[in-house]
Amino acid sequence: MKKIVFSLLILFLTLTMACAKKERGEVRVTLNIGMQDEPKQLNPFKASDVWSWHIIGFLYESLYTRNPETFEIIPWLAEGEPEYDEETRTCIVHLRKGVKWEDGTPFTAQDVVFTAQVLIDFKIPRYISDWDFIKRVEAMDDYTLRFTLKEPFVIFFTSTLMSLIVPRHIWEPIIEEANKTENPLATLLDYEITAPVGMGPFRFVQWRKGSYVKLVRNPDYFATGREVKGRKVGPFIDEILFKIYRTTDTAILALQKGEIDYIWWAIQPGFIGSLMRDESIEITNNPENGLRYLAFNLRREPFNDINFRQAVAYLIDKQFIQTRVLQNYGQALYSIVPPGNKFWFNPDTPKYGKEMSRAERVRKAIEILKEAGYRWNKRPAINDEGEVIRGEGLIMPNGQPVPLFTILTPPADYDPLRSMCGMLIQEWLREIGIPATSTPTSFGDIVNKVNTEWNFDTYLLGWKLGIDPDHMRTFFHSKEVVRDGYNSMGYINREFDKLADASAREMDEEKRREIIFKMQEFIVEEAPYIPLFTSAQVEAHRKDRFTGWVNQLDGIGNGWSFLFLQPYEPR
Amino acid sequence: MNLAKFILGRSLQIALALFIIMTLLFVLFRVMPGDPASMIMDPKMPPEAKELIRHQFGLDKPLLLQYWYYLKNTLRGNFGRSFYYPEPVFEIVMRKLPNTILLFTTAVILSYSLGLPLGKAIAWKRGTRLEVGATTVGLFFYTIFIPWFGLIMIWVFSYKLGWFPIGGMLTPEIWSGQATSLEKLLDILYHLALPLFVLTLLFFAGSMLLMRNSMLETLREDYIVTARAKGLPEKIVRDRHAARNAMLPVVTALSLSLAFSMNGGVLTETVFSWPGLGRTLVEAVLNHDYPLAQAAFLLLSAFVLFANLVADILYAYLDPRIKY
Amino acid sequence: MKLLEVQNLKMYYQTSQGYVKAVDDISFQVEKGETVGLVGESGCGKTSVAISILRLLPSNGRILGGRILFKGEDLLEKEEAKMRKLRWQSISIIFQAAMNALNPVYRVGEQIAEAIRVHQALGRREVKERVRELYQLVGMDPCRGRDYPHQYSGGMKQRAIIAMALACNPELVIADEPTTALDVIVQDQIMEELSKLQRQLGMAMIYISHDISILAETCNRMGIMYAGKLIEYGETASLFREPLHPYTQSLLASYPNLKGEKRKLSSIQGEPPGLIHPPPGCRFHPRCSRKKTICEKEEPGYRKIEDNHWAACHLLS
Repeated sequence: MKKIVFSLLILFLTLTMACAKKERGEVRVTLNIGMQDEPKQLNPFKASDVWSWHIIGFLYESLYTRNPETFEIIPWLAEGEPEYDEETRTCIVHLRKGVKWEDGTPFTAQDVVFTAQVLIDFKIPRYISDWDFIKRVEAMDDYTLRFTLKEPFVIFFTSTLMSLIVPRHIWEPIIEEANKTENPLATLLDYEITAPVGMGPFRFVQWRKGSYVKLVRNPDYFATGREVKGRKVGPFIDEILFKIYRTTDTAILALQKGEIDYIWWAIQPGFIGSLMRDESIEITNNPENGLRYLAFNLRREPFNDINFRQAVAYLIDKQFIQTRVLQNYGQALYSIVPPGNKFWFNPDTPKYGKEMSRAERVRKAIEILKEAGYRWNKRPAINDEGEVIRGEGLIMPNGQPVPLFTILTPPADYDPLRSMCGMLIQEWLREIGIPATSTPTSFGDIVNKVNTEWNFDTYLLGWKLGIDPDHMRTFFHSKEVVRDGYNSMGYINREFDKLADASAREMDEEKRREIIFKMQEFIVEEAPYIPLFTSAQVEAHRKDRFTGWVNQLDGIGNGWSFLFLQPYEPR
Repeated sequence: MNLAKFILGRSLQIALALFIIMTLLFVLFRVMPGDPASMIMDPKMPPEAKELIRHQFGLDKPLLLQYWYYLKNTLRGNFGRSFYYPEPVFEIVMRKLPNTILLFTTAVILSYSLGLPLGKAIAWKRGTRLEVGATTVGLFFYTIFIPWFGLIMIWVFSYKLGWFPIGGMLTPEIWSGQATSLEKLLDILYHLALPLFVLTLLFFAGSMLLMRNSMLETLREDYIVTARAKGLPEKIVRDRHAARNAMLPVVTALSLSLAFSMNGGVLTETVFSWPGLGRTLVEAVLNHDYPLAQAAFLLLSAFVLFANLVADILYAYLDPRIKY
Repeated sequence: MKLLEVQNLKMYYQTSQGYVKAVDDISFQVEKGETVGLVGESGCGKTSVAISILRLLPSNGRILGGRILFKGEDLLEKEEAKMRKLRWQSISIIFQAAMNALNPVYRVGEQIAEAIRVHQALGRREVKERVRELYQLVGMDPCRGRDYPHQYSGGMKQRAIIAMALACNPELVIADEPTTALDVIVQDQIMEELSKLQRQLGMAMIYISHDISILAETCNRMGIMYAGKLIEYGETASLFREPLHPYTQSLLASYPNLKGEKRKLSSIQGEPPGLIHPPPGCRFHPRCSRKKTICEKEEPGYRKIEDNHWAACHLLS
């Protein structure tokens, strides 16, 4: 009994304390951000989770960056365009002068040389593909860099020059230390950064593990006052507090209560209804730079037959998926590059079955298969009312029946969209006698079957993409048909390989765009992947706290938003 | 025959159990499809980079060798390094475990110190409205879906009434400023209150129902009639004679249920964003972070086994028929 | 004055199937210092009589009629608090040791001391001394008081229970099957012990057993119970000499003669009836070899045959 009284007493005390909380010091403009988890770490060489990058992203800068609207590459720490010489495969980059690390040390070409050296020497897995074709990085003087490339790769401009730069004076001792150990890479990656020194718009101040991370404005931020796209670069907020809410439900309550101003993850469309009714909340709906697709194992019959794949492509009603499954929070995809990536997206690829009725799709698919020599035990047909009369027992041109095959999808609790699509596709295929079975399988299991064992028929997975379309080369180039490679379909086409190689080496953007367009047409035609849809990044933030959010592919949680955000002033 | 000997014997058993658990954990995580490198789906990670990661984690070595290193290192108290966190695994676990223990143990102690007396009382008043009411309420909480209930509680007490925070363990404004230790302590208690309440309610229901059933069994015993015949006051019959004996099966069930109630703990931690071990564990499994998952499970197992040992010793103290 | 008078006692158990008529209109009396036996097959209501006297009914037990006069006062009218004082102080009970009558988690000596402490204002040392005395009284080593029940043999437990019953010098002790489940030698020892103690302490006793033979030597008077009814009641000598009720007769016939004469053991045909719907008329009639038509219809009243010997049987009229 005493115990109960005591605990009640404490509770009461606590409550009064909480109510009597006083403001301390001057009023600071704080942006409160809800995250679903805390960062795992702040070591930029190892961090791989999104929450770590939400923090690290504020601390470091790169030589070039992308325009918030056009995604055009603009100089950032660098000054002017990179001067590339095709003959010598060298590139000169000039640096801005007067930029300082947050501890006051000037930023120079030495920092870039050092960072490059670490990434190249240590072969740091996250960065290696951007740097392994760089032969040398030299500092001509404190503000001039010369890159020498082994081979010309265009990702030099789109990725390499956009890598983050770390301060040499901080990292050099760490690297020396690591080099003395048995496994330098492991030592470097396991190095725990407790007080990172960067130069970004915000400085790291405190991380109370398990609870929150606090950043404050960097008063010496080099880009403050610059104009980008007609808007002045801030930051105009004094500090950012990252708070952790494990579930979307509680994060939304916190948002509505004003504990946080923005939830930095996509919320499921199910929550939108109730949020719409809240006057102080705004919902943003931006396409995700992603790709959900159906892939075939081209090592197996009948998936090795382009006619079969195209017939399947006709049968999949992407419009239905967009309206019914995604409820328009997302977009049907007809190419391997999502339309939100405006510059690289080819709007003129073949669009199987777009705007076709069910009957037309089925008729088209039957026609393709028939012409290719497929037969049925019971032929599907369309009656006069346009209804499909189910077919049965599809037989391949070689006389064998199409075997029962699986569509691997992630389980519904992992991704309801994909598992739902799997079910729909199964039904659409079965209508004309293609014996598909949608099988929800754990993500790990799918990846293992698909990437490691190559033991699958078809699967439904997704990619998060970058702005640069170099991913197409990775997904479909024949050199990726190796263990852990990304061409799990076993798609081998020398002609495509040639195009892809050319796209990687074409340093001229316009010419490269043509090649990329061709590649998109090629892949859509060949259909080793059938692109299905890209989902929407639906996010929620408070209207009455800050204005100036930048709507972008992948949502408003981008670096530009935090540079432009201004405290909201009611009129 | 003496306690020290018994504890020694049981400790050896626990050591053996832990060894078996270690082996099982190792096997279990390796038969899960995929490894941390193959889980990385990033077009920027070429196969060579993945191989590098495997090498760095030691996953390219033969399984038996990995097992050997794992045993050797664990026995030396080196639980290895996480694939994702920078700190040694042991530190990660030790950073989060106290939070879990704070919430979990307090809830267990509170719920049992409330549940046992109430279970005792309602069994004594069998057939009355109080008993029927308390049993119904108990069953409700016993079978409740925690995430749902937790959210309702947050909605009512944090969102609507504003008495408690929506989640977490600390108020950043207090901890990043210059607050006194007392203020900080109170801040933790302020955050602890609601999840503690929910978890306590959940455990409380179980302990109350268990005690009630055990008590009803005991009340049928002949020594209760003897005690009454002796003219002992009802309170003494209830507390000294009935409750004391009814405790015995409850202690056993308690120690056994400890492992299972971890489940409710994980869910509560998630709903209340409590920075405990629960979520870390689930995530480590999903991410194939073998060292972290192995260490966390091993330490949790050790905790449960230790709790069982304590329960056994307690049992011997409660029941003179048990001698070690 | 009569020490205990039970008058028309009715005690039923409430169950989902109906009332179990465990004690149905029973009357008997106990004089000071006297020993009365209650005999009957298991389930006939003997123990229910005992717990009715102490008012220790389980929650579904109801006393529906009658009076229990102890020294002229009706126990059924007493407040619970007064009744509690009376228990053990005036009336104690000896339970069967084979049953879990001792609490397994407390030392036996402590369980005896507990009874003393509740009723008598004695100091710690005095209580302790009294417990030692009691142990000696029942012929046990007082040191064993420190042991737990599970460390005792059956005989020792029974002795301890007897010691416990005597703790407050009660005027009436109810012994409910005190020797059941003990082996024969121990049984005899306990019986002798009890008789000796009774003579020594001068208390009255109600002796409950299913075994009529062991009561023969100890009881002054005896009641025979059948299916919740007292069917015969009388002085032991008279009852053994001339059993009136056919049930008593067959009961006596099923045990060896007191004088050790070999007699053919006969057992009674059939099973005792259920007490929810007992047979109409005489409850024994379905098993009675000499039943008449009236036996099935009319409940027999008590017939007095000689002083202090009664029986309820139509055959007697």
